[in-house]
Amino acid sequence: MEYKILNFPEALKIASILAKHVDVQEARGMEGWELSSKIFSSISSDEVAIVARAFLGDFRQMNSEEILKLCTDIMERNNILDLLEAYTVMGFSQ
Amino acid sequence: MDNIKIKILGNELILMRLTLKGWTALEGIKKGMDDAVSTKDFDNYFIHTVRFIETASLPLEIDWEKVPWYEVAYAYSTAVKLNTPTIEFPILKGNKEDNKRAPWEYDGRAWFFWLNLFAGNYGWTEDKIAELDIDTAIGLYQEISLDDQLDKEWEYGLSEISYPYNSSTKKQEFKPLQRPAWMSPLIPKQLPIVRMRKDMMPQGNIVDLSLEPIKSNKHGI
Repeated sequence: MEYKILNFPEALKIASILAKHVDVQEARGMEGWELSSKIFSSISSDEVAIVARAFLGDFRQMNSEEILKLCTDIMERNNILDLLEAYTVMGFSQ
Repeated sequence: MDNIKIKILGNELILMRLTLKGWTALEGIKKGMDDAVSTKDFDNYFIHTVRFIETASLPLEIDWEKVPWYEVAYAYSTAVKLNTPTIEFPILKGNKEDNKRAPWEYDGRAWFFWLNLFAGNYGWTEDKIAELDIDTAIGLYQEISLDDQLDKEWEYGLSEISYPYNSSTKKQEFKPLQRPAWMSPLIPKQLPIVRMRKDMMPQGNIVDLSLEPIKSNKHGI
């Protein structure tokens, strides 16, 4: 499967959802699956749909375990923690 | 400062340090970015970021919608670093005044500000002013501001309003003209420890008012 790399506007939209639920400093010490589990258990179902659609496109045929695993991989490839830090530096999360 | 080459989608993008006129355009784009941040308008922020990078680089056909976010962020941060003053001018520090837009402000005014400043003070042509380095421009701006302030202080000192009447001392005392924040003395990071003579210290019981009040006993003490 080709892993989705977010462009700039997509990355900002995803960061706006995740920034509310992730403490970057705390997350730096977590494993990838640990972080994505924490994220997906914290965000609302609407937000899960937005994030999953951004990463996976049409995910309706996938089960939750598959979605979690793929999203974990895609977040790692997109350097999600660096994105959240950049989002704060830009001034959006203040 | 030399140009910097970075990779965008495998292609080489050359970022440049702009001269004064180009730099004023970047400042205008930054204001647009600040507005987009305040309204959380991600699309507008992206448009301004791309415009910033393209203004500070040699032309290259790029579909920015396809560029990974980290390449865009790196290109933008590199362009910013390249087009920042390299000297820590005091005039750039100091208290930020009220950021409300003045009635005479408009987009693109920055260039005319610099043009007026140098043409008025030195009689330079528009082309010469446009080609100034950012550090040179800001350094000269500080010197012009300094000369203006010292001239004002001199004239002020010759007028009677600099010696207001003090009703408590029944004398006229010199009141210096206020200086802008960047000309104020620097506050030391570590204040010097002043030793005081023991006989000059307060005598008797010292009551620490920051502590919780002691509950009185049945005698009211």
